[in-house]
Amino acid sequence: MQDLEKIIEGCQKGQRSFQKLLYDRYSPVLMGICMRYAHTSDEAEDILQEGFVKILKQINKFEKKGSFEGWMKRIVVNTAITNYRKNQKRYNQGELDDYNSQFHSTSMYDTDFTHEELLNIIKELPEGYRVIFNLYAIEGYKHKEIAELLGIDVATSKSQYSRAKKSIRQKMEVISKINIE
Amino acid sequence: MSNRVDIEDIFSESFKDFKTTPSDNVWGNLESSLNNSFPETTYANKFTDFTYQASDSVWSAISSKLWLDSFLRFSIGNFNIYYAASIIASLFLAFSLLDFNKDKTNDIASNDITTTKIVDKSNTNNNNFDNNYTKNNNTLNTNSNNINNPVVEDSTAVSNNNEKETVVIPTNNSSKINLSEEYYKEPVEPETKTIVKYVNKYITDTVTVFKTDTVILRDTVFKEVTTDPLAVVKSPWSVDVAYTPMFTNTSLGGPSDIVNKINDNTSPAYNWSIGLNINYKIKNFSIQSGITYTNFAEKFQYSEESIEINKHQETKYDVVGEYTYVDKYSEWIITGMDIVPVLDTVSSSFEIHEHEYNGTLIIDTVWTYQTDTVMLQTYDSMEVIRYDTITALKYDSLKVIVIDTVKTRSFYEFVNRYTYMEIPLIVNYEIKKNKFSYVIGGGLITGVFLNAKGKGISLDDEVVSLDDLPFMKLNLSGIINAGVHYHLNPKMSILFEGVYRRNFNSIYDNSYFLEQRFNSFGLKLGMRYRF
Repeated sequence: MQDLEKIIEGCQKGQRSFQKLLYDRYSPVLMGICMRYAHTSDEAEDILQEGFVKILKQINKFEKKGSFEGWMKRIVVNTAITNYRKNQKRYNQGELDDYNSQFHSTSMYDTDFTHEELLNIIKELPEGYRVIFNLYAIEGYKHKEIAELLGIDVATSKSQYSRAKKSIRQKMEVISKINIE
Repeated sequence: MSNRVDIEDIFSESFKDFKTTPSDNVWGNLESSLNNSFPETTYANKFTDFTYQASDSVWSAISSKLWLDSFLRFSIGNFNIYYAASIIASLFLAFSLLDFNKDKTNDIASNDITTTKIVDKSNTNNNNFDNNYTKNNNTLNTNSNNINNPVVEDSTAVSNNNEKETVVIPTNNSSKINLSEEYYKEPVEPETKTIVKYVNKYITDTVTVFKTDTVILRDTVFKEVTTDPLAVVKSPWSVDVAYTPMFTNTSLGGPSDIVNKINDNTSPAYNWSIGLNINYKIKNFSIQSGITYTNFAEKFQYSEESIEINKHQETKYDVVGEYTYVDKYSEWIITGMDIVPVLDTVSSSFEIHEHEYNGTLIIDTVWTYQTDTVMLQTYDSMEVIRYDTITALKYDSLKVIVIDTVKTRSFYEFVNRYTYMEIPLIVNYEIKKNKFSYVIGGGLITGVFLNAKGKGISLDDEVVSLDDLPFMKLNLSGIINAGVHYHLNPKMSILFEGVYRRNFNSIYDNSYFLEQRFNSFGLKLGMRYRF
């Protein structure tokens, strides 16, 4: 802990060696977050790069009250959202096909999905759905907060989340069946 | 003795081994609840501490960005762009001043020369000589003897009938010769065998004597001029580098509704041009041309309403009727109450009485009891089986597709940029006064369209990319300018000129419904070097 405080102080003074130490320590965790929001690993690295530059630029603003890791994660998540909003202007958003949810397989709870499998599932979601799912299911944001962050309606957030969830379930079921076979 | 009945005991006793089977839909609800939280919990658990290794190139990119950022931001402890600019500016100023001081030194020398009487022993063409030779600032080659043993001679000591107040520049030495513009005269006639005497300062490899120095070395040299005197003609050519920050308004022509809409959505923005120009001076006029890279800009804002239709399936429950069912349950009721007296002994004592009866001693123990009669309430209870007839509602579940229509108004702001490579042709009139020249001029600019980035509004009132619009490849603009040039030294000047320019033609070609012209105000800042 003391070690981390020294690193933070070094970074606040702009010392490159401490910045590198911070990067080495936290980049895998932050990259894990970026991978969930990005479509490709290149895009994830771009988000990580941009997010880490923001962290190092704003590290003087960090009040040593809360968790430093949590603070960094928030910055990276916000960077990912900004990245999504930039892309939103550039690309059309994809849509999920409607389907009837007939899924009630409890055996899936026992299936141990790998990170790769889960990542691939959410990467296949359209950009907006992926961001909403990440924010709600993993980051724990409320729909109201998501709506404010993304500049959308609460109802849109809810409905997109619901559809994303259904789509994920369906894909998980497929993987689950394959694994059992 | 207590005979009370505890209600808690009654219930605990009754329900101690009570079991019942929950209805079938409880597990359904539980399962549904588990299903509802299923992907979230899986993802949340799996990704709480998920790590992924980024490639090595990320840190180099971050490091470069940080370096660039710190270089562009002022910080006392770090070398940054401000320090770099200060160093460059200091070096530039130092060189300019050095050049200026050299010029000054030569001015001093020339002043000395001016007061020196020059002896012309050749005694030929004296009158022409006076008129035609050029006063100069020069540095003479001298040998080391002259320096070590300078001959200090007062100019008044020199006297001759043919004294001239003119200096001849010997051309067979290797002196550096600078002429300032005001000393320039017409080239001289060839003159030979002219012996002149002049006094000058020495600037040698080892000793440099400036005006402020306390020791002034003077020498009087007699030298034979064997070739033509040299008159240095100042070049009429000069070159400018200029940067012009501008503020641009656009004039629009076309359908009034679209024009009004564009006017509402656009506002002026900062733009600039940078150029390299060559000037040719003829008396007080100069003609300027060159090449300029110009970037016009305007802010463009618009909002767009998009309608998003989200469909999802929901289950609706409708009441379709009523039904009754009988609910059976048991209840304990109190059937009767009685009051029973209960005798309670409070205390007792005894006494022993002895007496003789018929010769026999009789010992009699007499007990005395003190009693209290308590009236106790007693209850009788019995279990009653009760039946309730309940009326309930019948539901029918229905799966429906719910359509959410979400209207979103998105606001966009762009800076539209139009870039041109331009060739100006400008005529300036210049009046020089001391260190300043006052300039006024005007001319034409031919611009070659390079590219445009941003957004515009089409005839159909839709937002379109500027890339898709038909721009005029060649544009003609008029320009007028007025300003001041400050001469750092005879070679270098700083330029400050106010500039107004306007397109003569529309930036779009004739096929496009809209006409657009730029009107720009700017301040031209630059440096001029005279050859």
